[in-house]
Amino acid sequence: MDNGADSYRRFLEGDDKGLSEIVELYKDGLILYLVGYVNNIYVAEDLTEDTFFRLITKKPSFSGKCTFKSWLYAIGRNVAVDYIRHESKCISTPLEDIENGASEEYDLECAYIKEEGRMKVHRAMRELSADYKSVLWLVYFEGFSNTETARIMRKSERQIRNLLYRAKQSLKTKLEMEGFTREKL
Amino acid sequence: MKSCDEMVDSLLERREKYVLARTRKRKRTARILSVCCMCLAVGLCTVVLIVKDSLRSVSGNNELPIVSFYADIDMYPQYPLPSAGEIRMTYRLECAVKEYGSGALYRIYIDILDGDKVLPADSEIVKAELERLSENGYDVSVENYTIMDAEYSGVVALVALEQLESFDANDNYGYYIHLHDECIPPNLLPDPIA
Repeated sequence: MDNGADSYRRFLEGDDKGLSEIVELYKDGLILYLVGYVNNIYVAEDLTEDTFFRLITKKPSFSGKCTFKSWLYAIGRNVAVDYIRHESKCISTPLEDIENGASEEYDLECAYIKEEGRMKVHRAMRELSADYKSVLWLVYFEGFSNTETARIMRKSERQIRNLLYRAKQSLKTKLEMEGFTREKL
Repeated sequence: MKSCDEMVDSLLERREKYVLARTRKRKRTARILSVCCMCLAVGLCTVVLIVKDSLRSVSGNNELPIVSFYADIDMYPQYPLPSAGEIRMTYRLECAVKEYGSGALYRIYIDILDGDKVLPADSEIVKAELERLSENGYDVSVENYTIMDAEYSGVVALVALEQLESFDANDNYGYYIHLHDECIPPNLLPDPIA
C-alpha cells in the first residue's frame, strides 16, 4: 500500500494531518537525496521544504502510474535543479556552517541509513558527480527500481543502467583508494 | 535542522501567506483590468468621435460622401455659354448628379459670367454674389489654384442636390457650374456655339 499516496489524497481533501504524515515519511530521505545535488545539508533541507511547499500550494495531481515516493523525489529533483540554475554563482559558506553541516549530515545519516557500512559508502559517494550520487542513492539507498529512478532523473532506463555501471566503477575506485575492500555494494 | 513538526508548522504558515498574497494579487489584477477596459472604451469612443467630427467638417453632413469628379466619360462636349439668369452645368456634373442624386454632396466651381466674360473672383460683382449666396445658405468661398504655372482663382461651393437644382441665379449674370476636379480655366472655356 502506498502510504504517501493515501496521505496526499487525504491532504487534498482538507486533512492537514496527511501533510504531517508525508513530511514524516519522506523528509530525511529527500534531504539526503538533495544533498547530492547541492552539497549543503541546510540548503537541501530548505529545498526539501520547498518541495513539500510546492505540493501543498500547486497541488499537482498524482496519477498513480508510479509510486508516490518516486513522484515526490522527481519533484524534489526539479526543485533542486531550479535552485542550481538560479544560484549558479558561487556563494561562500562560512566555515562554521560547513562544520555544523557536516555534523548535522552525520546525525541524519545515522538516523536514516543506520547501517555503518552503508554510511561509509554514502560518505565516499560525496566526491562523485551529482548524477552518480543521485543514481546510487536512489537505487541502493532508497530502493527505487531502474524504471522509477529513470522517471525521477528524467532519463531512459538504458541511461540509468549505464549510469549505474559507471557510478559503481567510480565509487569502487574511490573506496579502494580509501582502503575499503568490499566488492559489492 | 528542523524536526518534522517544525517543518509542517513552517509549511502551513507559508501556505497562509501564499494564499493571502495570491488573493491580493488577484484583486489587484482585476482592478488593473477594469481600469484598462475603461481606458480602452474611452479611447475608442474618442477616436470614433474625432473621426466623425473630421468627416462632418469635410462633408458638412456626417453621412454623405463628397463628389468632386466624374471620370466615367470619354468625351469632351462643347457647351454654349449661359446667358444672363441662366445656369448651365457640365455634362460630367449632370452625370454625377444622375448617379448620386441626393446621396452625395457636390464640390463645384461656379463661373459667373457677364455676357461672354467670366468675372474675376476678386471683382466687386463676384464678392457681392458670394455674399448673396452665403446669405441664402450656400457654402461658398474663393479658391486659388495653379494650372501649368498659371494662377487662377475661382468660386468654389459645396452643395447638396437641392441647392443645385434650385440654384438662386442673379438675373444679370450667367452661371457656368462644373465639378471641382474637372476645373477648366476661364480662358480655356470652349467658344460659344454659334
